[in-house]
Amino acid sequence: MVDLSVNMFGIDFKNPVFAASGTAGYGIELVHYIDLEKIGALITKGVSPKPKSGNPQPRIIETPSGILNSIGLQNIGVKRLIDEVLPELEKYDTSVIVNIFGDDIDGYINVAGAFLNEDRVDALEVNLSCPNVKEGGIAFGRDPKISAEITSAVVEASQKPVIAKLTPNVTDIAPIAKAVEEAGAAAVSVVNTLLGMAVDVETRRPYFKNVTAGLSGPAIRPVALRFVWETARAVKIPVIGIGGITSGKDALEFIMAGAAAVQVGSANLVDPGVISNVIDEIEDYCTKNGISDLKEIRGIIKEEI
Amino acid sequence: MKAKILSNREAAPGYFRLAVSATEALLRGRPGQFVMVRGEGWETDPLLRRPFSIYRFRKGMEAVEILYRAVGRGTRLLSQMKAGDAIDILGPLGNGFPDLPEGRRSLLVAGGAGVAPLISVAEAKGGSARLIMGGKTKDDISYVFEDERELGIDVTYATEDGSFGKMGTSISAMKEEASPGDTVFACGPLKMLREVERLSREMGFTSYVSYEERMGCGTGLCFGCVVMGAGGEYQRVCKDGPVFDVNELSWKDIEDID
Repeated sequence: MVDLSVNMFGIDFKNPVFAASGTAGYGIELVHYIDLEKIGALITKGVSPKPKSGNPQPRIIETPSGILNSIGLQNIGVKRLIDEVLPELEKYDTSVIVNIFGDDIDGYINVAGAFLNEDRVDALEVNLSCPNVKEGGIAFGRDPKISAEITSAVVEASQKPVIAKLTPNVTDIAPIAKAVEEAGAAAVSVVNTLLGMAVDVETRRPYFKNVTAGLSGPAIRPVALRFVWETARAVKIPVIGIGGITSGKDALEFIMAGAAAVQVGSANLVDPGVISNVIDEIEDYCTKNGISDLKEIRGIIKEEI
Repeated sequence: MKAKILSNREAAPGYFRLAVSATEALLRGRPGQFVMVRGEGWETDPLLRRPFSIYRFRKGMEAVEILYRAVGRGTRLLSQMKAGDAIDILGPLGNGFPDLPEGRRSLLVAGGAGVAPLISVAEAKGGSARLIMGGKTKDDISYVFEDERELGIDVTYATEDGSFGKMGTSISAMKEEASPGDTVFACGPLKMLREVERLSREMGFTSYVSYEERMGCGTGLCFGCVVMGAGGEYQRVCKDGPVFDVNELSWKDIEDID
């Protein structure tokens, strides 16, 4: 019998495969397609202190094995999330992580504080790195000092385990990972989308109004894997790997590179039941290879370097 | 879910009719609902599924039929697939058209391939609705001939070049036929939907439009396919639509981006 459960920052997750923020709606949309109780954790779409309307069209375009998006963090705001979404999620025995962001530090403190007494929420994931908004966004996530400042403010305001979601749009991720670790982050999510762009050659204009957009999907997997490996060597807190994971094999690559858990993102958009397959494939691999606990292979590639 | 292609043929130049095996759940779908489709073996490129309205519910054959134009990479690949090939189909998705109130005349107003969700409305209404089918040339409308025969629906054809039916657009034909109190179901280019909205205000009829937007997931997860609602909040076309009462949308905020 394979035990896929992982304990991170004092919480037992059924398995290490989570639904990534922004690709699982508020979780409620997913229940028609997958057993929410099977997935390791649901990470809800990022919420801000006030509702946010997001960017105008166009918002999404396909690229080779990838997706460029410029959604712009459209969300219903923290109040409606707590009033309308959390009671719905109460019906399912599943771990819930809420992704949060603000326009400035006060905004982060404000949204984090709203979860102080929300026991349904197991942890908060702090978005330090959205590429598609003008205020804050990526600029925060590139600066170790600001990243640390936001992280510790969120830890204090929420009294919950805080996962810092890091941007790949930096030369070196290690100093940022170390800074948020020191600031009290319980884990890091690595990585958010890569900055990209597309041009309409007929109109000779950038495809997106913000010019740049966030690239995700299998196209970024090797880059994300490298960031996870670099981060896992730099910090002691758990690393949650994200970037183009579509199968159990993909997830195992991240685990072997040092990830304690992974998030499936874009693949949910292609197949909203895909996380179930990823979990089954990891289990199959473990059975075939006589692995009883994923710890046996976590970060195993480090041994050989 | 996995399905099999039963047939995939070019019904008019550039227009394809694809019949795929369907589950009971899919066959219970409403006219106006849609499916997300990708070919088996596409691996990760093209990555996303493509959305298509359900054109015909072929209950006897346990199949649904999709109408599409081969314009982009995904639809071109789809057009090369053959009977017996495996296909991955997700649906039925979206809200579909509402039931028509009894005793009111309904007009189905289509622009080109926008007819896709409307033929199944005509089918469900047992042929009582009138279809106004417009296109640039005869090629843009001729695939409907076989549905007209099979379903016994009344159709007014209009072409901009006058090569078949009335000379003009489906909007110009609609102006001649619509009267206050009618219900209009429309699907076609954005320019056409704007006219439907304007005319429904001016002439006093109720209109529902099937709205098209580039989609990511089709299931409400990604917030990629939004349109501004009358209440000032973006609506997800895939989940809150694709069918909207024209009054639910904020037309002044909808940009022509194509």
